Amino acid sequence: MKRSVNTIFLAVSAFLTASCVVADPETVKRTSEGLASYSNSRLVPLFAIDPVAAVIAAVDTDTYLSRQGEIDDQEMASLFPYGVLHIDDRAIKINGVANVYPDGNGINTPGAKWEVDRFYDPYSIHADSDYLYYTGYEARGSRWVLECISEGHWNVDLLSVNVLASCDQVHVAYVKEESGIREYTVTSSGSLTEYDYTATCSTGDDGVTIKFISNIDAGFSKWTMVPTAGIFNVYFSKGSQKLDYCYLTFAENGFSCETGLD
Amino acid sequence: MLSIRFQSGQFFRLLPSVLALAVFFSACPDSPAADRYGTRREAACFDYEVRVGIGGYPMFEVSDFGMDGSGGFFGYYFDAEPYYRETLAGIYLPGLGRGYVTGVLSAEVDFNIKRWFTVTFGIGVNSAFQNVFDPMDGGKMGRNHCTTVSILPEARFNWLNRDFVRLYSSVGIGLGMDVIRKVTYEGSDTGYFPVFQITPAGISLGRKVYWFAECGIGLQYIGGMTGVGVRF
Repeated sequence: MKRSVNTIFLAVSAFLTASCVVADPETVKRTSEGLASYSNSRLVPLFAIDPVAAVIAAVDTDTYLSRQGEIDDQEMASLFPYGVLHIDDRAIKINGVANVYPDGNGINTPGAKWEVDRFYDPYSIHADSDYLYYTGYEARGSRWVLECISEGHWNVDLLSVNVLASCDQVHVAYVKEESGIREYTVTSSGSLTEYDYTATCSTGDDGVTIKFISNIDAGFSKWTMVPTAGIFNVYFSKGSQKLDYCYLTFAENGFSCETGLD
Repeated sequence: MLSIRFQSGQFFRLLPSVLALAVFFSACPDSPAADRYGTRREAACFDYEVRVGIGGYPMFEVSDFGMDGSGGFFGYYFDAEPYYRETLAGIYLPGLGRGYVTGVLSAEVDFNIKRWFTVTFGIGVNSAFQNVFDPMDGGKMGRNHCTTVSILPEARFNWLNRDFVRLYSSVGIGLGMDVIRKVTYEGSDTGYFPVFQITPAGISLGRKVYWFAECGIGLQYIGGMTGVGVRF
């Protein structure tokens, strides 16, 4: 009896004091959701949203420069909620958005070449805006050259970005503006490499439609850019080894994806 | 002056022999303690003890100390930059199964110097392991291992030492070593670290054969430990 009590006592003590499982499992992130999430949150902003954002910053700057002295306070607040600073006679800094460097010609003048530096400044007094960085997506920091090929059409080149990426054949076209919502289409292709892995992506021939919504009453997020139509294809690889694909299709109410994974 | 210097490998090879000799001499029937206290002795009247135990939450496998730049053995799979998992490469990190530890398995030899004071030499071993899964096909790639060994001399203060019951506290400082092997890494990663251990309260019940339980905090383990011992 005494031995049994001792045995039970020992077993209970051991159970109470010794813990076996100390870490939860970590599932593989290579899932349909993982690929779609990465594509939509990292690649779409760089290759589709940011070129359009650069064009919009340039267009608004052109409006401001060409109509200096004529713009009333309400329109000014709508264009630049955080105000602007003059860097020199022509270049301006749109607080919370970008530095814009015009070449002296209007942004809709064929042949005009402007530069837009979508700086990221975490110490800015507009840091909340910087975080979402004009578009509703996390900041990346990129510098673009815009060349007007005809009114409302621009070729956009990526000069630099703080990740290992290349962007080619980017074209942005103005579509329309209704109820304060501007609409552009962007066709682009490019690739982004992180460590040994590369994502190669491109829009369809018809491009992706981006809607730009500016709302000065919307608290910290005063701008939103949303893809509302078009397809965006991504191919994942490691060296010469093809790994996965992710086809995003945008609609007004969001996006769907096809990956070939369950 | 005579000085003996051990390589770490020699020390571990010699340790079992030292322990066996200590047990052999302590078990002699004509030990001084037997003369002093007669045949039926109280817990306080034995010169030597040997005991084994299990328990505790091993610190090194679950802390930041285990691997540089990671969240410990069960943390990030790679010793990587903080945002590695948010990158494209993060999508193709291996999957990890549940992380297990055996708990600290301890063995020690005790020398009862005074009724209120005991010196102990202990060794603690813990093993941690976790399955690794291929991100491409979900198959098992292998198993990550981490084995920790700690050598811990302790000073034990017996603040109640009666016929059947002993209550005590102890403090110790020693040396620890861990060996980590991870799937896709070649070889193993060996580290050494100092070990501090405090036992605020412990209890043993029994005379020649006894059961003990104690709570402790330190780099060898956190939490409770229990086991059995024999007095000579």
